[in-house]
Amino acid sequence: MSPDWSAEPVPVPYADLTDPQTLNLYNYERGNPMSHADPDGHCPDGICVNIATMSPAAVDRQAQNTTQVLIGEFKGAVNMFTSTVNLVLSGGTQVPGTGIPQLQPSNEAQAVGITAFNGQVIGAGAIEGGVAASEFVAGRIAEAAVPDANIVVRGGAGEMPAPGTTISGSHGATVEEAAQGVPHGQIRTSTAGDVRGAGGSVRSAPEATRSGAINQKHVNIREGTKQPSTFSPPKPNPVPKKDRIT
Amino acid sequence: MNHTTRIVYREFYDVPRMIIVSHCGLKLLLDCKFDESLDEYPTAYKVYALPLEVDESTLRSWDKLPQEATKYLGEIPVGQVIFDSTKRAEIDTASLDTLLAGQAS
Repeated sequence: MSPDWSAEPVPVPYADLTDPQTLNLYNYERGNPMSHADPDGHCPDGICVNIATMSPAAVDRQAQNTTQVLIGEFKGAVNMFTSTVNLVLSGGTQVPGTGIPQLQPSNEAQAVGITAFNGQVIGAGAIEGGVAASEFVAGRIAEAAVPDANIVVRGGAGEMPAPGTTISGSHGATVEEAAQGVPHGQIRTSTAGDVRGAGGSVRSAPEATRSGAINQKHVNIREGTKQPSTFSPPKPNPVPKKDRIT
Repeated sequence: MNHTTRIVYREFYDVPRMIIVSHCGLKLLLDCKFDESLDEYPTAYKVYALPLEVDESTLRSWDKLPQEATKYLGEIPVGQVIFDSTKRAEIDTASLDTLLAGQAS
């Protein structure tokens, strides 16, 4: 029987080109089915997102939606994740009726839109159980929402905070796009890839402004310990003041 | 953090820049508005007492909240406000207590 050469090639869904194992369509749970579950048949623990075919805006929306779904799904399933619970313990309270330590949403969990949806903080107690696991997922998604090629802007001419400090910034496909997300007249620029290459992280973290708009460009930046900083010296913000976030 | 209280906020840049917190029977607004002349956020929050009936959750914009304040209470350096690890959920009340104690004396 000859192959059907008329068939159109189809991209491998859920592939991550930085992880060749994801291209193997006949692999299940990376060959470790005892340690993982795959409820939707795509990725270990069902945590992947098919972002290869999505626009950046769609990735951003997916990051927000998926995280909310995940947090919902993981609620009550915290027993599965006791090994990671200790990472995010906050205080001595417990999830009511479970005896399970109460968890607190991390920067990353909120970074993918929990605060941005309604402009209010969802604090300790609002999200129960499983946040440690969804935090891991949220972190990956929030990173994916800021591609390596994206420009990252830090507002102001002041000295860069110490490496390892999580600071605010803005991202975009161009300097102009990124620079809209900060109010400053002076900016420093880098790329998400350069920050990560130096051991740091850049994560999407939409935030509500005082006017109630959502600053979708806001990112949490943590510079790695490799020095010097990957950010440029201060330079004028090319975006007119009226077009910047306020 | 000894005594903490929940916050709601708008505008986040390194830390929340506009915070509403209920403490000691007061509804407090901590405002650190971007200063165009400095091209930077100020180093202190201006603290106001808001009318208790203000329901920030129903307000689309918080821009006018400082004008609705019943009293201006003073300033708290941004560096003296201790946040929880997320910087988004809670603050230590010590800095508020210090400010309010100064008002009472």
